Amino acid sequence: MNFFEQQDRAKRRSTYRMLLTSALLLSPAIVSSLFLTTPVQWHDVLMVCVAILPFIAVGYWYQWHMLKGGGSAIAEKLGGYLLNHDCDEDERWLLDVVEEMAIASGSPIPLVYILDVHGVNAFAAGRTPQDSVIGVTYGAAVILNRDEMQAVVAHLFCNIQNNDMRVYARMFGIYLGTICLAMLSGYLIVIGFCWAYLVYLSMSRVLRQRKYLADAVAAQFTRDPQSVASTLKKIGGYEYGSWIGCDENENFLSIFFATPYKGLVERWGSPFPPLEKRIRRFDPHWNGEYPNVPPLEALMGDDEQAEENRRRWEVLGGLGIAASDFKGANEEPAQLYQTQATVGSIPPEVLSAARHPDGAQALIYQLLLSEQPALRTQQLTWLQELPNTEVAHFLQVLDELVGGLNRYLRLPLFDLCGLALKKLPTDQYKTLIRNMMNLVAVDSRTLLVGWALVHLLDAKVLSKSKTKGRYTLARLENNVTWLLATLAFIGHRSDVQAELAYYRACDVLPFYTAPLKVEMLDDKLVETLDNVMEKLQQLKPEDKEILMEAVAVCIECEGNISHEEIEFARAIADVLDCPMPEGLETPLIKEDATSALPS
Amino acid sequence: MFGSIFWVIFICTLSVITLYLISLYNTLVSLRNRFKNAFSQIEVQLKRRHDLIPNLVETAKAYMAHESETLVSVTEARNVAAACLKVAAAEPGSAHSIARLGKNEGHLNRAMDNLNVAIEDYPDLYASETMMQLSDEITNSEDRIAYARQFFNDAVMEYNISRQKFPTVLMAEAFGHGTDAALLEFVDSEQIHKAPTVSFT
Repeated sequence: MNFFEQQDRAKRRSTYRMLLTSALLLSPAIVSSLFLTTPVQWHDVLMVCVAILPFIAVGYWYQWHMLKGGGSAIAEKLGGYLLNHDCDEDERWLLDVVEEMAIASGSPIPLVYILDVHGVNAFAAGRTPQDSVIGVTYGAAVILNRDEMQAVVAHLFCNIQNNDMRVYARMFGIYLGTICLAMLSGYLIVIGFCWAYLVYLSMSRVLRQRKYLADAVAAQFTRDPQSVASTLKKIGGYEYGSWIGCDENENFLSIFFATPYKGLVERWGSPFPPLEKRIRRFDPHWNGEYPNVPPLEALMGDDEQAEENRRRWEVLGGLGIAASDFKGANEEPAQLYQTQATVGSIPPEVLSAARHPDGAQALIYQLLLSEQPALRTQQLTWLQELPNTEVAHFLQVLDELVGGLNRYLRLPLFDLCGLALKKLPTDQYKTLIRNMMNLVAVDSRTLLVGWALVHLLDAKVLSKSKTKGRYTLARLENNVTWLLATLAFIGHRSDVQAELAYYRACDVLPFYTAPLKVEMLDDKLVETLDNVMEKLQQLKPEDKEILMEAVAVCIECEGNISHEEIEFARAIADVLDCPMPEGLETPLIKEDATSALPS
Repeated sequence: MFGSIFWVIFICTLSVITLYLISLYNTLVSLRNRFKNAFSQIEVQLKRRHDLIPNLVETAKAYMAHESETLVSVTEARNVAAACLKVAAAEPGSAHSIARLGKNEGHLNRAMDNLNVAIEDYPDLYASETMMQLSDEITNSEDRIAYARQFFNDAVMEYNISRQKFPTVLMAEAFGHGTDAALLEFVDSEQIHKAPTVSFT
């Protein structure tokens, strides 16, 4: 829904609830005129109404009096300290955000206070827009990224512009007035308090609509509804939530961005709408899961660990919404891959070639050919020098057929070829593997994929000796992280995406992992990979499964799985002798009626 | 008897209608003033940027002897844009001047982009402290311009909506609110139309 529509909706509902409140407020007068047995004069009804007013006026005056010092007084009372303009870089961005939002909302620029508490929260206080201040908790400044901070500040600016503080003061006045009246109602005291509570409830509903309104306005000012949603999600997933621990300041509750202390959430009369409802206004397809926000202690401090944590949180948290949607989308890339790999049809000639030992060799060569014309010609001239005429014949026939194949079909085809290659004498198989490596070596970027494909075949063709599992993942930490980092770089174009995939994969591991090292693509890549895999083979079986889970998370991170990624993952699984994680198994090729070999 | 009742009702209706018309007129006036005020925000921010650009050019000149063309084009675009801003600030309601301002700011943006690309070839200049401060400032003010423009456009939209609503639309002409106010768009359509060419080879 458009945020302008949302604003209209919130305004309309706020008006309805305001009317309800007024009706409730006047209900003693109406009820007394309807049900009292003695005939009532109209001026009696009026008298009851007038009698309510002074109480409300006194309550309002009292509250307004409390606000005399303007916003600064409240901020200082809550324990905030003022942010000066000559502060350092860490705090400068906060002032910039406030200034930008002031421009976007057309308000004067307020003073900014920092509250030294862990919860993610913020408030705006003041009698008029001119003497309003904005306060942000320390937790919010650390946990939220720039876009989300903008959303929070924009929300506060809506409060300032609508003069919500005055509304709160009035409401509190009404609340005090009704309580006083209830206490004075003599033998009707129970009914009196019920009435006061009803009025209080309906007022809280007005305030809730104003929160929705401010959220929608925040979306308008930032032009980014998702950052509002992701702020709220982070609050939901954060250890300290939005608590600031100030039960005693109950009369200033509603100036906050989100529920300031825990007990308030369950209360009916809370002026804050439930977090889920606020999120769903902006993200209707949200799956209800909150992102995993690290505790504040892990991000603070001067040691290396905290530094690294901060950097990592910037990468993960910087993507806001994507981080939390990730879990819901977990199934999708796998399904996408499964359909990709089965939808493409394989010509029957290719299938029958794959079942013939020589045809299988030719097919493998064909599948390894590069897509780039220059490299392809280089590979083709090299292939022509092969001594085996049978294979050369198959190569020519398959040339056209293989060109149009879906790339995802390479993996199932290799599986099929593996069966046929079992019939090959060992020395011929060795030559095939050597030739494959030579073909792949033409392009340095496909080297790893070539390694993966060779190992796929090895697993199928050669009989393997069982290795004994004796290491845990933590023992082989260096090898594990090296593998995951390599995997991350294979499938992801930009460094940031690779880093993100790596960190997500590391989250699966049962221990804290080292930061990502970028210098991966060195000369001895394949040798290193062989060494690493040799070590990893000796993992305990249950640890191998965890590792494969991490591998799956790593390749699914981007939302789709490229054929190189899945091939590499399969090779890892084969080398480890561990099944692929659920959903990522290689689909079998349907065994149709067999046709003749291509002539 | 009948006559006087008729007159009372007549006068009441008339005064209600008059009050309603007055409120319509007042809404239009306040909305118009709101977007004019919003424009003054843009003006402040744009001026800030226009003041920063000559400093930037001055700093770059010392290093970029071979790129005087780029520098000259930035200066020219800046001068034209500054002139347009002056005209537009005088009458923010005029669609023509707003459109011209948008177009020339677009030119200036493109010239600045070219300059930024050129600067990357001069690592000394790129790393110098004045340069870094200046480009920080400029990015900062560009952010603010974006928000000020957004606020202006929101205010213009609100004005236009209330102007086009029934029954205001019947009266708007007579009230002196005959034309819609124009949205401020910085013309960078060339960039949008030309998709960036990316190659992974």
